[in-house]
Amino acid sequence: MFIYEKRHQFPINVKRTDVRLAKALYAQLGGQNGELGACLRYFAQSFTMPDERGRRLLKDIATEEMGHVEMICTLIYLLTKDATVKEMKEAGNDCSFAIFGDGIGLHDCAGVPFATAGISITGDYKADLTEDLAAEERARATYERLIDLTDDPEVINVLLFLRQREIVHYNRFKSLLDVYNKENKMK
Amino acid sequence: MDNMNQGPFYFFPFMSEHKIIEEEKEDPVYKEVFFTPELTLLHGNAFKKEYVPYKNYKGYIPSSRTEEEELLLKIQMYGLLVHDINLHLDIYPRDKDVYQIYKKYNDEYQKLCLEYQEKYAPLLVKKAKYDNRFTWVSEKDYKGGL
Repeated sequence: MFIYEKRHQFPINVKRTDVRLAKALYAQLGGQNGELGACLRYFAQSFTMPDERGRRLLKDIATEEMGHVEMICTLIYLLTKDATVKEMKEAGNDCSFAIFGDGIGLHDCAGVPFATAGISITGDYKADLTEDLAAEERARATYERLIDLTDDPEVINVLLFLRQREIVHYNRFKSLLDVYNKENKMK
Repeated sequence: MDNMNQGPFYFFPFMSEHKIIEEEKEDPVYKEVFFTPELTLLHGNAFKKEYVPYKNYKGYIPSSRTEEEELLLKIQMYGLLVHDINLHLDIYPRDKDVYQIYKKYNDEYQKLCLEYQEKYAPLLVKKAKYDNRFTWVSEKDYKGGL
């Protein structure tokens, strides 16, 4: 089961309003390489890992990704909560504002609703872990573009942290796959 | 009225940059392999060799203004260090050296959490200390936070 801890993994301190930036950040919430998809991907895949090591690693990382969902939501919320209707319009956010208001919609930066179609689960640990490696790299690339798009040092600071976490997850999935491959060869 | 402008207590308005004053740890194995808890939070990972900077960007740790923020920041530092080691141990549960370090820093982390929960507010609902009211819903949130 899951237990909620009332704190973030990294401190977030955003005071300014920037609807345009918040819109871009939706890429990492409901986007195809976003945190929500990552969380569900690892959670679902964990059941068919060959042993406890894989199951624990994937569940632990899935849990951390849920924390990252919370952080992205917090960033979006803080960047938009004080926005006026005029600011929403200027950022081209009319449609989203009409539907969601200040709420956090589960969609990507283009307004496409979050879909599980891009989450591949095969029941084959080699295929799944290789997919996870690619997913982490895609998320890293997305964070790098978001950092390039951002001029707010406080938001960049959080994005740098999240980007480094993707790299760590990549390394862990790689280690796990290497361990499994090595042990299979020896059999 | 101040409460109206504040988020929940878990994202304080940190003001400037946190100054890193903690010395490198004495333990040579630790020093070679891991960042200090502070640098772990700054870089976003515990294993030194895994840090990959992006362009010339450098992160910073926001500085705390109150003792409560300072303690929460420490919890985040130790929490991340322990979590990152946890992910390593998931794959290599028999890695005794790293497990020793895990135990040491997890003890430290638990102590910090206990201290925070005694002094300020619960981080986990079941760890909330008993009072004349249910403290999981903090007075600050209830009065008008989020």
